[in-house]
Parts: sequence; C-alpha cells; structure tokens
Amino acid sequence: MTTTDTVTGALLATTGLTKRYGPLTAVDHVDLSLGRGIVGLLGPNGAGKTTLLRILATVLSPDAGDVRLLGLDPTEPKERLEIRRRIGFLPQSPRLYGGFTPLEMVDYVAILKEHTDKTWRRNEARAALEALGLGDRMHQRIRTLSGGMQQRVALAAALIGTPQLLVLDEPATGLDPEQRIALRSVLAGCADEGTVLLSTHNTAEVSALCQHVLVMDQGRICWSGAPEDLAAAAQGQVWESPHDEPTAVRSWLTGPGNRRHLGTPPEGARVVTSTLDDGYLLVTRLAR
Amino acid sequence: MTQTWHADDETLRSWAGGTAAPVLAASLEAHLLRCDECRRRMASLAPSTTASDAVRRWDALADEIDRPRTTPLTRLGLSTPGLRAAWLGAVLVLLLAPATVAAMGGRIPLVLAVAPLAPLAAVALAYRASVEPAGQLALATPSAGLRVVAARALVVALPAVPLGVGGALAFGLPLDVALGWLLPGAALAALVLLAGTTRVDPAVVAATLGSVWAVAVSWPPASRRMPAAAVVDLVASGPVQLTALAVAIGAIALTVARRDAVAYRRTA
Amino acid sequence: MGEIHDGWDARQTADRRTDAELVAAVRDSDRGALRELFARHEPWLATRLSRRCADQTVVDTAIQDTFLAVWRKPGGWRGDGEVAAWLWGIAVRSLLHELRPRANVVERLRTLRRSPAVSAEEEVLARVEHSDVGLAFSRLSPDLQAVVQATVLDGLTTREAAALLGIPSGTVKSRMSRARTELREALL
Repeated sequence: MTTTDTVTGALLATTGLTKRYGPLTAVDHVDLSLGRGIVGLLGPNGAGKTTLLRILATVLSPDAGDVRLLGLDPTEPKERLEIRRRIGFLPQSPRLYGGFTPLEMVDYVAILKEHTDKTWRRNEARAALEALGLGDRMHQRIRTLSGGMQQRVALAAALIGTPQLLVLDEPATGLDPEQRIALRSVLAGCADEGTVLLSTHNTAEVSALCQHVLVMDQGRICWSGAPEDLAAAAQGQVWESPHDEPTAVRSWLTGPGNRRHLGTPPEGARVVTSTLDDGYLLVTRLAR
Repeated sequence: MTQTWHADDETLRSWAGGTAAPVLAASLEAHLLRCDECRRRMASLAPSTTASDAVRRWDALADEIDRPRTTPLTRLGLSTPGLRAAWLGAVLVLLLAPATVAAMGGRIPLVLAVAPLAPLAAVALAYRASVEPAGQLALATPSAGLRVVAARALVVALPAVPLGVGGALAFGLPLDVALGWLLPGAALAALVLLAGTTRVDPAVVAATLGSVWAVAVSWPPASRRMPAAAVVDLVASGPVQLTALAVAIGAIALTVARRDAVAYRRTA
Repeated sequence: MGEIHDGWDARQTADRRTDAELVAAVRDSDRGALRELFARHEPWLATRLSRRCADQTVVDTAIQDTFLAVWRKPGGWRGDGEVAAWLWGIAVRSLLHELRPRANVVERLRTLRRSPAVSAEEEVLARVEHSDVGLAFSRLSPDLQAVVQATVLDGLTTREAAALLGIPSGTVKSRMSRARTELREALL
C-alpha cells in the first residue's frame, strides 16, 4: 500500500480543491502539498479554514478538485475507510456527551476507530489522557470538567492510535498559556510520526511550533512557507511613528503615542524589524 | 495530631525487615496508625525492593480501576439521553396502544395506526447528531456512516417487534392486527433511512410519513366510512403487505447504494 | 508514582492535602487523590501485611482489594478518626478474605452463631504503647502473643482471628482468656 503520493512524496496533497455553499465559495481552488511536520493554518474568521480542514479530515466531500491523503483518495469509499483508520480529527469546538468520563469517551472513540483489543484501548486511552494532563481527571464526568479540560479530552480522542495525519481545528482553544506550552510538546511528538495540520488565530503558536505556515483568506491560500519567511515578507514595510500615516495600508496603536504602520514607508520613516504578525496582516491585506 | 515521640530509624528498619521483637513491633504498629511522619520515614527506609513492589501494585490497581465499564452495545445504542428517551418512548407507545384499544373497545385500529411509528421514530432519531456521544469527532472515524446509524436504529426499534406483537396478543387483539403492522412499519422506517442519504431532514420525512400513515389508517373508521375491522383486513391483506415489503426492500437497497452520502456527502 | 507532569496543572509540587481531604476527593472520582493515598499508605500497609502473611501474591491481592474498596466505596470512611486506621481495617480484612479457606455452608452457619465481642479491657490494651503491659506481653508464649495481636491489635473478631491463625474459634477464645489471666497476674 502506498502511504505517500508517488509523484510528490506528500502525505497530504490537493489540486484545485473547491467547496461551495450556494453563492459562497468557502474553499476556492486550493493547491497544497504537505509532508511530515507541523503545519499551521492562519487566517481571519470566515476565511474557509474550518471547511478546508473538514474536507481534509474526510468529513466533507469537495465539489471540485482532487485530494490525496496519505496517497489515497477520500472520495473513493474504500480508500476513505483506509484513510479514516489512519487520521485523527479534532473538530472546532467539539461537543462531547457529558455523561461519559474522559476515559470512557476516548475508549469509545477508539471503538469507532475499530480498535477491538480492550487492553490496548485502555492503555492507549490512559496514555493519551496522561500526556494531556488529565491523568487525575479521567474518571470524572466530562460535564463537570472545565472547557479547557473538555478540549483536551477531545484532543486525546483525536490522538488515539498514533494517526499519521492529524487535522486539528483550533486545538489551543480554551487552554491557558501554560497548557498551550504543554500542548506544543505533545504535538511535536505527534509530528515525528507524520503530518499535523492545525488551524489557529495565534501567530505566537505558529512561530513556536510550526515548520510551515499557510495563510488563508477568502477561501484561497494566499501565502505558504516557513514562519520566518512570513515575518520577512513584511521586512522594510513596517515603521513606527506617533501620527497617522496616509500612505499606510494598515495602522494600529502599539502604546501611548506610538503607532505601527504597514505599507510603503515614507522618506526618513523609522523602519522597524517585522514580526510574524506584520507578515500575516500584510499578506491577508494584499489578498483582499 | 501532635506526637510525643517518634520511632528511630533502627526500630523502623527492624520492623520493616521483620526482625523487630513482638512487643516493639506491636507498639510501633499502633503508633504508625497515628503518625504520618513515621509512616513516611518508614517508606524511605524500607528496602529498595519495596519501591518496585509499590510500582507493580499500583500498576495492577490502575489497570483495574481504569477499565471502562460500559459495553460497546450500550455505548453505541443507548448511552445518550436522547436514545434512551426514544427507546422508552417506543416501548411505552407499544404497550399503551393495545391497552387503550382494549379499554375503548376498538372502534379505531389504534395499534395499526401507532405501532409502525416506533421503528419510524427510531430511524429518525438515529440520524440526529445529538445521539452521537463524540459529536463531530466521530465523523472522521472508519465506523462513521450507515453502519452506526443502522445499528442504533435497530437497537431502538428491535424491542418494538416482540413488545408490539406480544402486547397486542396479550390484550386479546386478533393475530392479523398484532402482525399486520410489522411490514408497513419496516417500509416507513426504510423510507426514513433513505431520506437520510438525501439533503432532506430525516426528522421531517419521519413526521410527515408518520402523520400520513396514522391519518390514513384511522380516518375512515373515525368518520364511519369504513368499519375498523375492514381497515385491519385491508392492511393485513396480501397486496398491501407485499407492497410494504417491496417498499422496504427497495428503500433499503437504495440506501445501501447511496450509503456514501450518510457520512460524507452531506453538506451540513 | 514516577509519572511526569508536563506543566498541565498548576499543582505540581507535593500534594499537601490531608488524608481526610484525599478521601473526600476520591469520592469525586479524583484518580490523583487515590494515587496520593496509595503512595502514602501502601508502604506501611504492605509491610504490616507481610508480617502477617509471607505469601507476596496474597499481600498483593490484599493491597489491591484495599485500594479498590477505597476507590469504589470511599463513603465507608465516616470522617472521624485516622484514615490510616480505616485503611488498616480494610487491609487486614482483605488479607483475611484471601486466606480464608472456602468453608462450606454448614461450617459457616455454625461459626456464625458464636457472636464475637471485643471487651473494654481489650480496647484499653490496644492503646498501650510503652508500659509494663508491653513487658508482660513479651513474656507470653508465641501462641498467646499471636492471638492477642490478631484480636486486640489488629482488631479482628474471634472468628476472623481464627481464620487468620488457622485454628478453631474455640481455641482463640481459650487462648485469649489465658493471655488475659497471665497479663493480669503480671501486672498486679
């Protein structure tokens, strides 16, 4: 069985991927080719991130275009089944039944993933929950847990069975800064096995965690590359001054009497080092 | 609790090693019940094998308490409140209908009108997102799709058969009434199952089909155009039963052919 | 128990909860509280049980049954006295349950009729740590010491002590009465 696309060697590849909802085109001719490692998907709300991730998780069918996941075609029922045995999916704000305990929930998802060995399921579920810091809570009802803990239960369920492809829709939602850091080490471990594709609003998350970043806006991938390169994309186009600048495409207050501007700097402007945020704002701005 | 004395290391060590004299051991054991500090020190003084024993014992204990208790069937079928309620509802309907008929004298063929609604509702409920304990997480698993929906519908609907038939017979209704609803019920349920492969909401289809069936069966006798017995005879007649069977088989076959749409091509 | 905390929880330092608080947390299915109780009490419970029974597998089972009982029925703790004493009560009975030969029904009914009772004198004896009683105790024959230890110090009923020591209940009673006489004589 082929695990990677024979042509590109990618674990995840799309060409011309398109999904429409009536007049709205949520995903618009997306071409991707991703290998091993952690990939961050950045983009404003409504950019089509969730729809794209749902297609890549085999939950939705595309209207047009081609998808290859682990070298297999999810639109073919048999190949889709094989993909689903080897992927993990964390939906956006997952709603789990509160009457289960975390252990029961992860065990149940393992059953859905066709793991029949009870002892294996117990050990894997326990290891996943412990890795996510829920070792002490695995016997309490999910409805009694905080939002961040419920999010981690869903993550543990997505991680069960060491999937080769992990599709995570805003995994860091509801986690405090300390837990975000802990999550990074868990995901870094997963990336050794295959591809982790995660969407986020947090550029710090991307620069700390991801080897590759995709920026999505209005259904299209408007930028793709290494996080450093995204920061560098805004190099020479960021300056600071106390006033409004008419030439700036975007300006915002960064402190008392200090504004940061994006665009073509005027003569003698105080140009500063660009960050990932600047790069992100610039590319989404240009896509508009 | 404040302690007036603590055991010295030598005492603790000799007790742990099993060489302490009986009196000393007895008094130390009584002391240990109340002295947290001596318990702690004893643990640290104990031979190194004790630590690995503790790990082994904890692992054995953890394996025991971490064993999930529910069975896959209850989890798939009846674990969420929605499905439990549906199951209870179906059982109640099937028990109450013949009881009401027995009490009212049977001018309306109530069992025939109501009993097929149980499997119909079971299928509609099995399609609802709220019955899935793992929510959307379940959609990307290999089990997602018609199999899970069908399994749930069966688990809810299957008790309907013995209860519906047995209940009707127990209340003295004739055999053709007791059995006559089975195939129409299967046909209606199969149509709802088929609706799940389209963009139409299965719940709407279930409500529509159920109402149409109930009115069609109970309206003629209620308006005195046709005696209840004649309606029963008609439903139990060969052509009607065969039609129901054909509809059920056809709808199920079509659903299986379109099963891809259940877990993948739905746009919701 | 050697598990690594990766910074998920603010509480990473040693668990400062009291035993009673831990039992209350176990009531809320807090697995961490059970682990902490286990870490605190398993060493001395295991050592004390090993002094009663040399068979490691029996001790293992008794320890497991003890903490399973704590996990499944933490309500058994009434909230007064020492948690350690409560645990020992469960542990020694778990050990006994393991050791007890599976008697037939007639045997069980026969032994049931003899009502076990702990006298006030025995209660007092249990509280003594260092005293003349200790000295007197050491002078008892090993047979009598074993009976006193089982009934008075381990808090077992006559029937339970008989099962633990592998002797008839009547013998436990007669030895206990002999021990009582000898102790009284030694102390007077």
